[in-house]
Amino acid sequence: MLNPNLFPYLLGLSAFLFTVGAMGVLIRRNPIVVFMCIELMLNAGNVALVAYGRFLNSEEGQIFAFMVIVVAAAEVVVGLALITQIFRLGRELDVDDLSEMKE
Amino acid sequence: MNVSTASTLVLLVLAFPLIGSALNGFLGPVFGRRFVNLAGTISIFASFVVACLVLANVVGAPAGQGAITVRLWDWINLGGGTNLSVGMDFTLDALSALMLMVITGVGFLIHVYSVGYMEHDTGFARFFSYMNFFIFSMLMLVLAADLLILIIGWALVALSSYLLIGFWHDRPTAVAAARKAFITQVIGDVALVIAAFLIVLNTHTLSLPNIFARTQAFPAGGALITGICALLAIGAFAKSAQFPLHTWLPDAMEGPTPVSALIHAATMVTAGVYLIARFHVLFNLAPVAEGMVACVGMGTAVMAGIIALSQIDIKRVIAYSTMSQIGLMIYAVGIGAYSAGMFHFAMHAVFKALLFMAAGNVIHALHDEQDIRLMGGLHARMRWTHVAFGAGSLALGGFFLFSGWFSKEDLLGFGTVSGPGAAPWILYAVGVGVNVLTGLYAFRLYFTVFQGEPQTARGFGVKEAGYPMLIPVVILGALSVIVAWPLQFPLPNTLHVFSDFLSPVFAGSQSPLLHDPSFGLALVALIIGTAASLIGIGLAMRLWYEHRPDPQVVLASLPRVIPLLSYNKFYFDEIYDRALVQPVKAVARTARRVVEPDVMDSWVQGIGELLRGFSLDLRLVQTGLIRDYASIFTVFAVVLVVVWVFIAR
Repeated sequence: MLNPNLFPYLLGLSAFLFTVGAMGVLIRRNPIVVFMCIELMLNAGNVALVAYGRFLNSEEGQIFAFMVIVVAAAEVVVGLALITQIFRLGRELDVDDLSEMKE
Repeated sequence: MNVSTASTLVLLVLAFPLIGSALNGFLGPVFGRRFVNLAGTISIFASFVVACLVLANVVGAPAGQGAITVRLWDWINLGGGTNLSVGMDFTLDALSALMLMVITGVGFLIHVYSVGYMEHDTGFARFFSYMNFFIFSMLMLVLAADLLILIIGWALVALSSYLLIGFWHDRPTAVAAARKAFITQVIGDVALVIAAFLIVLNTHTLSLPNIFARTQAFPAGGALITGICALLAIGAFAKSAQFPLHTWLPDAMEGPTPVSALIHAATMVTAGVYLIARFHVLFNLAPVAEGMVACVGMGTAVMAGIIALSQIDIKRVIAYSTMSQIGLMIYAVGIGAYSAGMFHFAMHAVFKALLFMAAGNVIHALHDEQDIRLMGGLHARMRWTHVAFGAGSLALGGFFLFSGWFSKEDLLGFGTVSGPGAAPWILYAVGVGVNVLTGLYAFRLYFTVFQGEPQTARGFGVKEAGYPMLIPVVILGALSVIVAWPLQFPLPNTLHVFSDFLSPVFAGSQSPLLHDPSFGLALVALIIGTAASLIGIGLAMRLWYEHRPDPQVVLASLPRVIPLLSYNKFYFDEIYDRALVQPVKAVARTARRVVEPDVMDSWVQGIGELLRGFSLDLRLVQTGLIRDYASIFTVFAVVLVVVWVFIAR
């Protein structure tokens, strides 16, 4: 049984990781880094889920964390495929440059 | 006549023209001219046969049972407190049987004539479809035993009239004339509908027999019944081209000549006479309205007669003579001489249809020339048409023993003793003057067109019309001589088959204005009227046949104002144009120039501009930069969380 006093620190860690990831998504222009930041945000969520599950004595938090990992993996597959394709087209890997959908 | 026989007859007489109209309209263009000619005429002939059966049934019915009202089916049943129910009610009685006979009989002959007249027109299927539809509408009007059904028929004939006046829709004048006719008639429709509202408010029924049975709702001579009758009369005036709603009829001559003969002479324009005769029970309660109707009728008769004297278009002359003769009919039903009015209607239908069709032959022979100054000398070249036209002119002019003589003298004989005071005598004197005028204009037309020498080279080469156009003219020519002989003699206590036939319809109530003239008075009136007609015809002969004195000389000796007024139709078109059309147009122009751009557009387009501006601004949000979207998303997510955590809880 973990010390209940650790709970705020775990949530704090989660919030810190999430903020770092969000800032990375907003600031960085390299899509690969953006992806890594998104992973960071997802894993921040996982930390929070697992922490809650632990402190509320429930398995659901961990189950959800597994779900998130699966979804994140799938998302990475799609995302990396997109990035590879963009790279193959000879485009610069810059999210600001990929704005054709505006029109 | 039992109910099932009557329903069958009504259904058949209405169905044939309607089926004919549908066949011609939908299948005519596919099957071609021969099919249309057959379908168009046979449908009306079948209707005519049924009308004869109706007549036989009405005549053969035992005394007092000649009228029957049948309900084909229920239509509107409001139930509840109002208890208003409208059914497909139709009446068969002497009056409707007479109308049926005239409409289908004359209508059939005119359809036969149309076969020849429309021979070279490409729109023949449309034409016959409209014509059959007109017959259907008119039959519905005269058979209706419910005010609502009557109004529907009333409006449908106006529609057919509109369609047929504007039949040649590539002529702007025809389209304008059609519109004018329709708009004028709508004025009458509105009056009729208001009258119907007043009637249903007071009697709680629209069924004509019930209305006539509940006249205790109207105090005799009261303002209510006078108003209702005045409104009905306005409806009748619009349909029958009476002052002040008469200006559409001459313009209606833009339509093909068979249309002028059928609709604008023989049948539809006399619907007003029929309406007043049908509502005689109400009119007999409103002597003031009756007097107004009589005055308007006689006034129109004089006015139209004067105008007819100077018109130069052959069809317009006949149109004004129609207006004048309908004025006499309206006068007759105004003073309560209903069967005399209907008698003149029947005779007039015969000889006026004849005159129009004969005029159509002339126009056809002269290759669409309608100016009578360019005609003349046709008597030798169009022998049959000439004879028929002459017979029609004699009937119209009221020559002794021709059909018009019987009906016109019959009608004027009642005029001598109608109503109190000096007014009836004045009206009667004017009526005698109308007799003179009728003789004048009828024979001015006849002499100018058929006698003398041809005025153009074309006049020498004319040929008589073909059989389809000649046979109906000759039949009607013979009829306009003899048809009145077995029916009526314009003296009391003599031959009165016609008025005896109609008398059950009018027996229930007596007009306060009407008194039967004594034999002596009627004889004097007859002699005066006949003499007046002869004077008119004789004068016309001297002026336009012998040219002693020449009409031009007479014209020059008159005060300048009379020919001017006559030629310009008393300036009614101009007055209406200035007083009604131009103000309305000015209002419309102002609305177009000021109200629409400044008032309507300001808010209609304002809303549009507002939305457009908002969208334009909103568009800037879509930058295409994923990081922008993500930022917005994040900001809103944070805001939502903050709101949820700190405020919503």
